[in-house]
Amino acid sequence: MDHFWKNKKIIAYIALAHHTRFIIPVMERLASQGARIRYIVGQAERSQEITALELGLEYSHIYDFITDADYDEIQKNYHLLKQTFAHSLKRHFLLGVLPVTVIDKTLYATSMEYIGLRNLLKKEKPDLCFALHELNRWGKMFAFWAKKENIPFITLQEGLTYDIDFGYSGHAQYSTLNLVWGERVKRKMVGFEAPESKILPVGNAHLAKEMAVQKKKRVRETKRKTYGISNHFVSLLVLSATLPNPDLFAPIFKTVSENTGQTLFVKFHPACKKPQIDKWTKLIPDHFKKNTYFIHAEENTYDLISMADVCVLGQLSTTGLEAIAFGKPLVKLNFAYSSKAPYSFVDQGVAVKMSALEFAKALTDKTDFSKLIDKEKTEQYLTNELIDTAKAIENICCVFKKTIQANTDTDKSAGKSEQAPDKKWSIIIQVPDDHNVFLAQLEAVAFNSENQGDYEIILLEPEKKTTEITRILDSLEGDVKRIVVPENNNSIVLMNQAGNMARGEHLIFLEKKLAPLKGWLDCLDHAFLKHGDGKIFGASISDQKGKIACAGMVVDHNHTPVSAYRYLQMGFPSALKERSFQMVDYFVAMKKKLFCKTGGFTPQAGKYLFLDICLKTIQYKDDADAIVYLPDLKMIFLDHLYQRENPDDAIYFYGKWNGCLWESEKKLHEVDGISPEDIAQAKLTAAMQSIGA
Amino acid sequence: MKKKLIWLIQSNQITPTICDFLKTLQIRMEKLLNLLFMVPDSSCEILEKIKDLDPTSFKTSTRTANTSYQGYLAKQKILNNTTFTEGLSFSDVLLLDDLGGGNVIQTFVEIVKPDHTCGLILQIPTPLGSSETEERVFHAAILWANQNSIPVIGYELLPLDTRWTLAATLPDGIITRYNESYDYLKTVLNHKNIWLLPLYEGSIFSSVSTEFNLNGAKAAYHYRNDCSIPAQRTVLYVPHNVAMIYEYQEILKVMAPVGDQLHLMFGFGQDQVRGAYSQMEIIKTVYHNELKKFASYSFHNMNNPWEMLMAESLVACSACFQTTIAQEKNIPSIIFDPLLPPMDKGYKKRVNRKDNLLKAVKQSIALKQKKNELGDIIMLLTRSGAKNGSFLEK
Repeated sequence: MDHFWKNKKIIAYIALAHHTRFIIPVMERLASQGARIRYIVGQAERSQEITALELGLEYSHIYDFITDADYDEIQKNYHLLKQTFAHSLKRHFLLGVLPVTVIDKTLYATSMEYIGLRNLLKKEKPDLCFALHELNRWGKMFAFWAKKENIPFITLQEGLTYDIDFGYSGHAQYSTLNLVWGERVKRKMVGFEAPESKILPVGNAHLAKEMAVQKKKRVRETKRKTYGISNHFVSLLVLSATLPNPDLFAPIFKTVSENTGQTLFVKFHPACKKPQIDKWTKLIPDHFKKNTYFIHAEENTYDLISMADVCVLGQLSTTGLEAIAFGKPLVKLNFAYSSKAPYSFVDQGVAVKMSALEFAKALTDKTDFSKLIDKEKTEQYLTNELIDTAKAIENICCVFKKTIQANTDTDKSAGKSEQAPDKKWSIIIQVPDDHNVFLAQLEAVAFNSENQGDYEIILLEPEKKTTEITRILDSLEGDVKRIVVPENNNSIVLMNQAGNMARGEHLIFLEKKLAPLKGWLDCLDHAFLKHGDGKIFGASISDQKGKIACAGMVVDHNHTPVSAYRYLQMGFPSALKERSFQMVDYFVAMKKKLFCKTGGFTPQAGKYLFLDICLKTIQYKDDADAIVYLPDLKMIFLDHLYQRENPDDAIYFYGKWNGCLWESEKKLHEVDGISPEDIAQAKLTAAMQSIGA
Repeated sequence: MKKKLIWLIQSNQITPTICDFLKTLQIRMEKLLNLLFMVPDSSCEILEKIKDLDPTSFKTSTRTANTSYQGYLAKQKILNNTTFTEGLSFSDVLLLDDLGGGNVIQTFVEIVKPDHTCGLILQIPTPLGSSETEERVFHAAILWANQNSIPVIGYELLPLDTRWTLAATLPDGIITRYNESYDYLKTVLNHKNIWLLPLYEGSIFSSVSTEFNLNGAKAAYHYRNDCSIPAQRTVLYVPHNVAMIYEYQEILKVMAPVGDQLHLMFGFGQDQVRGAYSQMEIIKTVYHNELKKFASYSFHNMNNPWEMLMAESLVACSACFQTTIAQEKNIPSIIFDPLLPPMDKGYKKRVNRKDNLLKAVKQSIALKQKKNELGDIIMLLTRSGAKNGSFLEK
C-alpha cells in the first residue's frame, strides 16, 4: 500500500448534489489510503448543507471559520462591493440579472466567505484542495486563497462544455491544475483562452463507477421487472429545462400508446419546475399517455438509461454522452438539431437524426437502432471525450500526488562544482535535430563571440542523431565538449552535469535552435559588471519571423507565464527597457557559483526549466530583482521551437510555483503606459508586416 | 403650475389603512403639489383597491439577452479594477455565476413623465420580504428617474436595519419608520438624506397597520394645526388622573426647564369630574404657574387613545391604562415614582429621581429632532433645482 497519503489533509468543497458524483469517488479513494478528508460547504439558498447531509458526509461551513475579529474586514469588503454595485445599478441595468436584494445578499455572503475561506486555509493548512470548478464565487475565492497560501488547488470539469460560454476562459485561472475528461474539452476551453498548460485530460471519474453499480445491482433487469416491462422495447426521451411544444412529440406518444410492447420514459431536467411539468403534461391528451411514464426526480437518470433500449434527445442535453458511454443507441429529434450548434452528436456521427414521425415508425417497425450507429466513430468519440473511464480516479490521484510532491519539493539537484573555472564563458548548447539549424547556430556563436573573452562550448547531443549532425559534431575543434544524452534520459540532468563540469566562470544556457547576435558576450560582460554576481540575465529573443519570442516573462490573467509583448515587433519600444522580471525563458546566463548554489535546473521542471531556475534563484537570493532582462543581448530562433507537451512538466511547475505566479502582464502595461488598444494596434502592425501588407 | 410627485405603489405595499392615509396625505398636500399614484401593470390587481387615490397604471416590459459577449464585456468593464482586500477582483468572483456571465435582463417602466414632476417616492425592497417582480420594478423605476433627473426617495416598510443595505443605497433619500433604522442608515449611507417619520406616520407604513394608526395620524395632523405646534416641538402625553394631582405637579416642575420645547397632551376620562371642576379646569387651575413654562398644551379624551401617537413619549406618575397602550404601540413611557425602584423595559421606563426624569425628557426632545413629517420631506422635493437628490441635502 502506498503510504504517501497517510495523514495527508485534503479539503474538498462541495456545493450541489450532482457535483459530488465527480468529487466523492476521488475523495473516497484517497481516504481509503489514509488521507484525511474534510468537506466544506458555503452559504447558498439552494442549501449546500443538504448535499453533505444526504450523503452522510461530515462537513464544516465556511462561516465556521469567521470570528468576531473579522467583522471590520467583512464590513470593509461589503462596503467596497456595495459601492461598486450601487454606482452601477443607479446608472444601468447590466448588473441587474438578479433582483437587487438577491444581489445584496450575495454581496454580503461573499464578503463573509472571502474571509472565511482565508481563515479556513490558514488554520487547516491542507496538503491539497479540491473543487469541481472555480467558476462560482466559492470555487474562485477558495482557489485564490489556496494560491495565496501556495497550497495546490485542483479543479475538475463539470458537464460536456458543449455550449458557447465565456466561463471556459476562467476555468483554471487560480487553480494549480484543471483536470478534464478528454482532449475535446481541453481544446474547447483553450479556444476560449483558458490556459492550455494547466488543463490536463485524465478521464471521467464517475461514469465507470456508475456503470459498474448498474451492472452489479442488475438495475436494468430489476427495474424493468418492477415496472412490468421486462419484454418491452423501452425508449428514454430526455428533455431540458425549457420544455418544447408537446405536440412535436405527438407521433411518438401515439405509437407508444397504441403498442402494448412499447414503453416510453420522458425524463425532465432537474432544473425544470413542477408547475411547468404539470402544465406541459396536461397538454398531452390522456389517451396518448398510455405506456408512458413522466419522470422528474423520481428515478435516477442512470437507472433510466440502463432500462432503455434507445435514448432520444428532444433538446440539447449532456445525457447523450452518458447514453453513448452506456452503450445505448442515441437518436436526436430533428427539431432539436441545429447545424450551427457548437457541439453536435449527429455531426460527430454518434447519433441518428430523425423526425418524431420517423422515430415513431422505427418503433413500429421494431428497428434495431444500434445498427444505425457507426461503432468506429462511437469508439473514437468516447476516446476523444473521455480518454479514460476505467482508470480516471487513479489518474486523478496520481496527479494529486505529483502535485503535492512538487509543492513540497526542496531538492537541490545540481550539487557541487566539479571544475574550477579557467575560462570566462561556458556556452551550453542543446544540439537540434536539423543539421542546417545546428550549423547556423554554431556559426552564429563562433562569429559573434570573437574577442569577447575566452569561452568553451559544451554540446548536449542526442544519442540518436542524423549523419549530418554527427559529421558536424565530429568536425568541431577547439574548446568543445560533447555530452551524449541517452535516449529516454532526462536532458536536464545532463544540462546540470554540463554546468558542473563547465570551465567557465559564467554559464550560458541556450534553448535549442537559439542563435546569438553580435556583441552578445560584451553585453553580458557589462551586465555582470553593472549588476554583480547574484543575478540571472535573460536575452531579447526574436522568433524566426522577427517577432518577440521573449522580452522577459510576465504572468497573464490565467496566472501562466508568457513573454512580455509576445508577437510584437522586436523594436517595440517597451521591449527595449533593461529591467528586472520574475522570469526569463529560452536563455539564461549566470555565475557558475550561483548556478551550483541554487541547485541548478530541476530535472522535473521539463520545458519550464528556465522559468524554474529563475524562481528558485529569486527564492534563494531573496531578491525580487534577481532576474534581469537585457534588451541589448539579442538572440534569434533559427527555426520554430517545438516543445513536447508532457503533463508532468506542468504538474511540477504549477505544483511548485503556483503560489508565486500572480498576474503581472497588465501591471507591466500600466507601468509602460500601454493601453489595451495600443497592444491591439501593435499586434495588428506586426501581423501586417508578417504578411507583407 | 403646481409641481407633481409620483408615488409608486406595488401589490405588496398597500393596506386599506395605508391607502386611506395616502388619500389623507394627498388632500393635505393638494394646495402645494399634486400627489400622483402610479401602479405598474404587474400590480394591476390593486388598482380597484386604491381607486380613491386616482391611480394610473403604467406598462413594464422586460428584454433579455443570453450569452451575450457584449453583455459579458460590459459587466466586466463595470467591475474592472475593483478588488477585495488582498486583490481578488470582484469580476473574477462574481461575473460568471452570480452575475449571469453574458446573460442580461433589462426591465423598463414605460412612464410618461408628467410635466413639473419633482420627485418619485417608492418603497425600499428588503432581502427577506420582497418579491422579484416588485424589485425589478423598483430598480427600473430608479433608472427611469435617474434618466429623467428626478430625485428618488425610498421609504421603509419592512425593517432596514439589517446587514443588507444595497437597496437603501439606490434612492437619493430614505424615509425610515424606526429609530433604529434611522440611526443605522446614518452610519452606512454616504448621504444625509435620511429622515425618521414621527410615530403617527411611521406606524401607518406597516403591513399590520389598523384604524388605530390611521386615526392617530389624522388626529396628529388636526392637533398640530389646531394647536399650531411647530414641526420641531416635542409632544408629551400626560395621562392625568385626579388621584395624583400632587405628583403631576411635581412632574411639571421637573420638566419646566425644558418646557419651552414641549407641548403637553393631557389625557383623561371625560367623565372624571371632581366636585364642580372638570379635569381640564383642575389642570388649568392647579398647574397654572407651571403651565406658563410650557410652549403649548391640549386636552384629550382618554377614550381616543390613538391620539397618543402624536406624542414622542408618555410621561406619567404611575403605570396606567394609557401606559399599557403606549407599550403596545411602541410609544416610550416614562413613569416617575420616587417610591418605587427604577426599571427599564425598553419602551417602558420607570425612574425614581427627578434628575433622571428630566434626562429622559431631554432624550425625547433629542429624538424628536430626528423626525420629519412626510409632508415636510415631500416639500423638500419641490425646491427648484432638486435633481437626483443633490438638493435634498439639508
